[in-house]
Amino acid sequence: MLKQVYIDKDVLTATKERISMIFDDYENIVVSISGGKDSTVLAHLALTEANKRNRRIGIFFLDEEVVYDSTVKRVEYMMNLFPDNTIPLWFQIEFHLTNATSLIESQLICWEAGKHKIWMRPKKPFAIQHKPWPKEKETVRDKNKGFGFYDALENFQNSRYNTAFLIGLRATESPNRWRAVSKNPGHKDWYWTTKMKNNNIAAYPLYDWNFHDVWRYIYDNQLRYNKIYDYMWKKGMHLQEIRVSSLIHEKAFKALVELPEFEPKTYDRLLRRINGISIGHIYGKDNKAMRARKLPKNFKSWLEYRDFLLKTYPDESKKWIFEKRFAKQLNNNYVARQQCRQLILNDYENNLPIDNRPDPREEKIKKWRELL
Amino acid sequence: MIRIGLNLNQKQCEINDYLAKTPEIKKIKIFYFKTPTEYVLPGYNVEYIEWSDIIMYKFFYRLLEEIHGDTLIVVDELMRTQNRSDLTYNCAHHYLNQTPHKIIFEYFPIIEQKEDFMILLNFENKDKYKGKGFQYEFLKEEDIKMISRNVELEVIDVETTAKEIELYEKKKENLFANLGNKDPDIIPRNLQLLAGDFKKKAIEPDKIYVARNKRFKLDNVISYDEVVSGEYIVIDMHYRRLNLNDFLKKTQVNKLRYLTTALPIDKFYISEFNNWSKNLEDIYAKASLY
Repeated sequence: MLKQVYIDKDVLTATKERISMIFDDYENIVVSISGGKDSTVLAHLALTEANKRNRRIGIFFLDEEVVYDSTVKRVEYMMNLFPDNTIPLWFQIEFHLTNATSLIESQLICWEAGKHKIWMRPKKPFAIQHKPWPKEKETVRDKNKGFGFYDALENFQNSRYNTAFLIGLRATESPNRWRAVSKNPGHKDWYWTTKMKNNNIAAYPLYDWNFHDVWRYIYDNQLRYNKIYDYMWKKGMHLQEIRVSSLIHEKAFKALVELPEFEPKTYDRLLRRINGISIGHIYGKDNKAMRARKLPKNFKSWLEYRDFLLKTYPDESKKWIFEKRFAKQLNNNYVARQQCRQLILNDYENNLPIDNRPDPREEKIKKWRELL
Repeated sequence: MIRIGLNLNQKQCEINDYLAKTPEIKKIKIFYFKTPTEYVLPGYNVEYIEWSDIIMYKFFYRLLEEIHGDTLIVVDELMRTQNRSDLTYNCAHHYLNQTPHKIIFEYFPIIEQKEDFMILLNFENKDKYKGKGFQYEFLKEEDIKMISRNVELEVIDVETTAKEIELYEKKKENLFANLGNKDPDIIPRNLQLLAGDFKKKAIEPDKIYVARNKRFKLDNVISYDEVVSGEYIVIDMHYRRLNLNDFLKKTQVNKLRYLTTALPIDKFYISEFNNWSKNLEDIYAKASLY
């Protein structure tokens, strides 16, 4: 079990040292940004170092098209902060994105050719608009889904050599991220890096930062940050809910509930862009709908509801994926509730994994039977 | 330091002693739950902060800036959930990490299980105890003192008729049959209300009783919310341990008098209470007592 140990050095000093070491050892450096607070801080630190050394680094943004307008503004800001030290790598290429809000249009093809009239916004003239890697070398993780977000990332990274990719992941965000950023060292004894193909590394210089370190850095350096954070805070949202991400995939659709309030124009454009947006807006946080927390009253059990959803699942080409997966799982209400959520959110990719175990509620009923 | 089982005067004395020993203290932040205990602290910059407020941004960043080595934090009866990773606890740890001066007051050392004591140790030193399970040795490693607050359960038997037993069985079967998708914990709660109804015949006009609600419509039967210090006879045991502990805290009794039928539901609550009491005794036995 990994343990957090405090040493006699603050995280900012340690991060500056890490970035300096990366600049010493790597000629090619690319910082991935998302428009969120962590990558803003990371890019600023890396660009400051580049400026000091009179070097140029790549600022990489994989544009999902369906993002907050505030995110686009922040990415533009980052790309123009140190123009002499920045190689803009703003990718506006076609790739598939899961749409959890619609069963009839389960995928959005970002920047789809021929649909430019309904794109969320025009492409940037300086953006990279076509895949810069050879077609024959392109890899796809899941052929059912097609070329997706992570495929775009992976192919971009694999098209580079001897490059350090800087990523703003922090260990305190979740146990998964903790694991991701503190595995085996990718270079020397840098335990905050991981190895990649072509002698590349992924580096996580902010891995030991907490969220208040990030905000402190933004405040101290008077950086601009995504307006969405302010909107969310004003709305009284929970600390862990305050985050910027895409708007339609199975872990982000909740953002649609507040979107018309935060960015009415973005919502308006999104309505025209893809199906299911108003469903996400109305039912995104509804316990009986997209959260699948409460059983709709028309059904006696989650099992019955699951069977109904499966029977009426509209996309025949994907239905078998659920049938095959569910056949391997336990047949109880606890598992069935999670299966309902997968069906409602159209999660054929299994991004919301199912906790396949005996129903704790049934165990409790058994206990009360014996005691009472 | 952790002080368990103190009343208001004793807490005041502990704070006075601490302040006398540490002249560098200029500010005092007192975290409390719902109703603040007013301490007499002349000459100090004192701020009372309600438990639910400490996670708010408007408090969080200000407090992080204000709390330093010259600040005493008093954590006043704040073991409010058994979840050690609760967000409010985490925010409190950030403040507590910024000063060596902290006094943690709690009436009982646990909510239900011995593991709950780790919540208090986390207040004292989060880094040291993070992720660790409870061990009795920890009681010796920190400045911890306790006043034993053992509570004895006195059972007052109430006769149960054959008809009442029949009614109980019928209600039980009915609850199981119609449970549907409802929470299974409503079964014992409902059965306890029924058992409580059977205890009505044992209510005496010159004594004060506490029940889950006001269903008896009697002046001498109050609900848990209305309890102040004093002696009460319990008709329905509170099903939430934290609320039952709050009742014992408010009344500061050392004997819980409980009207009891021969029905299994009462046996269950008695056994649960005895388990809790045993856990308490185990901790008192190994701790430094006043």
